[in-house]
Amino acid sequence: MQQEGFRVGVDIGGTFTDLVVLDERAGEVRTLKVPSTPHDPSQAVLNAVRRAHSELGIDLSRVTQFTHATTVACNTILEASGARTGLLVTEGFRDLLQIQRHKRFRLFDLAYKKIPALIPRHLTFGIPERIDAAGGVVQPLDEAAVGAAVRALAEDGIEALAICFLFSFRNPAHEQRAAEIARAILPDAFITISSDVLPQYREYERTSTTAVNGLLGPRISRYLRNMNASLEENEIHAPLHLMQSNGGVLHWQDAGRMPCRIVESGPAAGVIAAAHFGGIAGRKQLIAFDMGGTTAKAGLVEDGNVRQCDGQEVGAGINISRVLQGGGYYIGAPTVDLAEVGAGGGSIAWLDDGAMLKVGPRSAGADPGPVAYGLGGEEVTVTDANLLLGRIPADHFLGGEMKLDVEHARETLAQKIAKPLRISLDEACAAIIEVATASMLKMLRIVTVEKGLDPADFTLVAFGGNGPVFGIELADELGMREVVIPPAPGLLSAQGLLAADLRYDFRQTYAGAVASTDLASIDERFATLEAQGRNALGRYGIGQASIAVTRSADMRYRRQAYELNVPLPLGPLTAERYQALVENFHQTHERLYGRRDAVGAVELVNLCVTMTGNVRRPDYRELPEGNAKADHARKSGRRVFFANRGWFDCACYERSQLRAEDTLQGPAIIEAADSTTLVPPDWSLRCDRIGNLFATRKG
Amino acid sequence: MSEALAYQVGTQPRREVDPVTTEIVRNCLIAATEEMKTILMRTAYNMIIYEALDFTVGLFDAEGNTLSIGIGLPMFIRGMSETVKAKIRHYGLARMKPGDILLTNDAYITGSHLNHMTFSVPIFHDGIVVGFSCCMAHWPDVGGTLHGLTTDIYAEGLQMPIVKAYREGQPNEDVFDIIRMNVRLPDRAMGDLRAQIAAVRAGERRFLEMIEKYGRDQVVGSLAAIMDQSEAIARERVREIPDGVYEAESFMDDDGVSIGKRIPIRVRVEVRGERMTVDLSDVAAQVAGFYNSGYTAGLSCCQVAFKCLTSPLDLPINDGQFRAIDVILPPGKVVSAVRPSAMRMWMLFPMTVIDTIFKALAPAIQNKVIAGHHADLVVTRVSGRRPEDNSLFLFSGLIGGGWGAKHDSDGRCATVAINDGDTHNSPAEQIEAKFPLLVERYALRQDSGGAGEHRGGLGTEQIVQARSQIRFHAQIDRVKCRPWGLFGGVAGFGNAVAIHRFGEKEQQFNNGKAFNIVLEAGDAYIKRSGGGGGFGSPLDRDAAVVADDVIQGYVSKDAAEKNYGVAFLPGTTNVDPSATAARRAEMRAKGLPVDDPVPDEQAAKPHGHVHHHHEQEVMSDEERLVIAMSGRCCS
Repeated sequence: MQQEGFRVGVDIGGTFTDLVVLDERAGEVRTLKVPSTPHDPSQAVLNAVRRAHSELGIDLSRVTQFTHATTVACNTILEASGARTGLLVTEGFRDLLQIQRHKRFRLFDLAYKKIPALIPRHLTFGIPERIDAAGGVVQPLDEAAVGAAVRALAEDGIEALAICFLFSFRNPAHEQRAAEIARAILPDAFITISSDVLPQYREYERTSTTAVNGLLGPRISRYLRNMNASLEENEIHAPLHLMQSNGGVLHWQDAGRMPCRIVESGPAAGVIAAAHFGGIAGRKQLIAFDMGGTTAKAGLVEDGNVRQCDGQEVGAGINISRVLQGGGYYIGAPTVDLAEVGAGGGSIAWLDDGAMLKVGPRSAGADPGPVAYGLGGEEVTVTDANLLLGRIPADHFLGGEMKLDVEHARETLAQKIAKPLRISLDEACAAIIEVATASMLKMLRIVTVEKGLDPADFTLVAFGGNGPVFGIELADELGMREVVIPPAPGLLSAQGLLAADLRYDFRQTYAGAVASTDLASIDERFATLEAQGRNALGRYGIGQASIAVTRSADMRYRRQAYELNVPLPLGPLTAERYQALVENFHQTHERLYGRRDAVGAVELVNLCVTMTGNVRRPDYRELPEGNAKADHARKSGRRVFFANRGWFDCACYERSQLRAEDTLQGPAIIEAADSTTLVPPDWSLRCDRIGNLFATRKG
Repeated sequence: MSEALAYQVGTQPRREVDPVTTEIVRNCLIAATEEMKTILMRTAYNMIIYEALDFTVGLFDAEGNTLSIGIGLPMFIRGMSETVKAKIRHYGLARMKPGDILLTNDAYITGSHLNHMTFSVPIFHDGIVVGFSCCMAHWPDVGGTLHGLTTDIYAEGLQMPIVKAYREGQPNEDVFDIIRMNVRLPDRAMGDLRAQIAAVRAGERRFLEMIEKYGRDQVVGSLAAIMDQSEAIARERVREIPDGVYEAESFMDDDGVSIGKRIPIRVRVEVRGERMTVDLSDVAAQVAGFYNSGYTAGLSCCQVAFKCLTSPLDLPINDGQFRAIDVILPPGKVVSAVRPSAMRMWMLFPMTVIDTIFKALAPAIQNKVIAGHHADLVVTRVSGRRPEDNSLFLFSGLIGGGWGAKHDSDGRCATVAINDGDTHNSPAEQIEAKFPLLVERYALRQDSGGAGEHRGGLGTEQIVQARSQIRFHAQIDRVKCRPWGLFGGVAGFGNAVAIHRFGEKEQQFNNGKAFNIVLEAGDAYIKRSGGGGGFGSPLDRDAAVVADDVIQGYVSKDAAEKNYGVAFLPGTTNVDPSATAARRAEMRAKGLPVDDPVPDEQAAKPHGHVHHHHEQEVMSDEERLVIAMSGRCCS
């Protein structure tokens, strides 16, 4: 049992770096924000840490856990600022990264360009060697060719080398030997092989993932090594952990080896936190709704588990859905499944060629930001409309740190939107809100109906700076009955870092129909994967008792090209157990696609093991008992506009003054330093014991 | 932008519709069609629907005009609207009742092949038809012959005239019985039918919800406003095209019957102010083989080209924007074929028709067009039995090719042809795990992109070795008639098919047609997709860029010297500037290089064409099913 101390979570965002500290003994959470430092992101982390010490009085030597989420990996891909990386592939397949999957994602766009290859052709070498689908050697590895290629790449000054041979997930010997040869020639290079990174079939996806890992490797491992050293200098001795795209954390040394796994770390942390606080409110079927400055995102939590997908694409712009996405760099790492639309507080309202009102996807960001920020922004945003409709306070923005310029916002909005549309200022503001709402509704509907689910069966968890402003109205439109607004929703991703478990995912391709004689060897493979996981967790001091193991299998009907993941109970894989697994597959297929093919052959494609090192859940301090009226938190009210409903005189509450079991009735508005919560008429809201706000529809 | 704004806001009386409701209605339409798409993909029985996206869902007004459609493939831009209009003509709104579902697959209405079963629900509100919700999906089998080339529609399967599949909510069992008796996979057909009905009902539901929420007049007004805006913007963009008459000609290799007999595609485009007229009167007459398509497909060609050139990204697909284009297309052409012409491969020729419209307009809008592309899916079909269990397999694979260059950039490499879209290739690791095949090579084709100031995109080459006996089939066009260049750019390589028997020399197939070729273990088949045409004279391409192409291996040193006039310092890839200038001047003086996309070999000798009287094989039921299911648009 670890000693009680402080847990620290730090989330680097585009504008701010958020730090959250949990005092484990008192159960108290403190937060602070510092400006991000894009030229050297670790600077902001250290600034935040120092302020945590000087302003919040945190004894850094008593930090027991330090978890970090960062956009550094993602930005490295977007900015194409990765390391100079060479690539070795099987001869005949040199153009995998150019050919990609040969799709066209925009049907009528003659100017459509594919993303440029991650690694250019002249740094890619085909090596004579071949392994077949059964893992047999068709052609032995040409070691001399490997040596010649690596020496040529060394001359070209590569810092990293990615190796991806066909069917290496069946037999990694050629990749391993090639890496050995390369290491002897380039001892300081970051060398990564596909059978380590993604031992799964589909050569383009595997090569792309391995290439990304190579491109990120030198920079990310350096960044993490330096940060770890700086934390040590600041007396923080807790291991540095990184949030992965899958919502679990891993040790910085593993993150340095597998940087392709931390690309979506910030958004993943948000959904983990949503699941955590939804769980505290007793809810396990959740839609996590995160609305920030540029985009709104939505993820699903089913039965307490965050919905994952097997991979993601980076660099193709905003994708409303993983199913409809396309065109970016593929990364085959388990990733929290998020839909996204270009609707955030900073999204710009504009009139198109036909004088129709549009909102987004362009955003004013934080600098210059909305007109009301007075930082030189001259384009009307959602935040400006919210301000003029009383939906956010003018004098209390960011806890009063920023005063908003209402007059300027009013003039600009009148000039740019209301006048050309020949409508009143109020109507123009309302119109911006309604258009933004429509695009978020579209996203939330697609997230659920795409999976055959009804939003009414879910509770919405609204967070991000703008999530609580829109959350309850959106839930109302979708026929949902409950909304949870967690504590400090504007810093939720950082809080997710405090609640996340250590997690290692392993997935290996088996690919084939299963005969009864194969079961023992499948069992063995599972055991090998689990041993790898226990090793990794053990290295970082996680006791065997707090390790949870889950097995699952990716399965498909023989003629299909895509798989479904089906859970498999632990224990020896007997014929009955395998039968149960197949039956489970049929059922899952039927639930998702409305049919089963009872006579069709079922194939086992990948073996999957997830090892979780459980972190003790934070114990939050309970708030003092309140009353049915919440009078103690009440301040002077104002008029507020609710979408589709109109203007209402609203009671106004200070969130920090709310107590346990306080209940209040809409229309109402709750203000806090990091975000404002709108409670429409027909909804009531209760504050729970730890400060979660729980809104329900009346009647 | 400000000009268009003034036009709309200042000088025209505004309709009594609220711009906000209009934007919300627009979003609702998109969400509704997305939902229809999702439901169809989740519940359909056949892979073609959810992997090749061979379907269309959509919402239409009471006259059958497109309000919003979700399409998987560009050529579906037109099909369903014409089908709804035909259904309205057939029954009249008065003879439609709530709960009716109308069905047809009439190839001369849909313009495509018989696999496209199209269902439509008239949407009633207060007893009045306010719109239609429709779904077309490609059924894997609709009966018909399995023996290669067809020469009339009767050989292609079940023809379903316009009928009511449901009458006032009750299934019309007679229709279902007819379907079940005429298709090889009745259960799957019924499964797809149910999925399509679920999709059209979802569209109906969302449309009615929208009317309940915003009121019928507001919604109808908003829909009209959306169409009017699209029209105004489209007209504005046509006005930007200089007035004039623009013409172009291209050729298909042949119709599969008269081998080597070129088929001319001639188009004439007239632009006058805010109107564009595309005249396809001089496109070849309908042909004997199954490459015909109907009038609707001819319209689609024009609208796809129009959309690519005027609003590729910013307007949703609705009929407002297409009010700005007129099409002249007499019946009996290869893209307005009449009964009983054969239609199975309907989507192949239209790709070249679209490219030819770009070519015609090139002098007018140099900055918007692209040079010719490979214009074929380059599909091959391989069948055989797995050695381990003697089970039958059939593998139908396609590869991407090169696209034409543009005024400011090189063409795309290795990308699927224009009539397909979000369709992926098969990973070698999947092919080899499922079939006794070994992919030896899948790579860009050096020098396949047409030379130009901007180079055409590169085609690809795939070499696949048989590891046990297989049969191999290919029907590929644009082998001889290669993707043309523009403004002095040169043609790319054509598509090609070959086999390489173990220990022998590679053998090419004349005109890309290979029927029922038996390959033994160790033999390989090879397919090569064409490259795009170049744009601008190759002599104007920056020599340093040519040198980089040589370093990357996209262009050989020989081709760099011969086609681009670049001279290198001996033994290096470093450009010799003065020698290059001299060589280029000399080539210019001789009028080199010359673009020659259509080789002058009219009526090439019919060379080993056993295709349409090959032996009648005895097939097992299993083989029939597998082969029946292998067809898809343009395969």
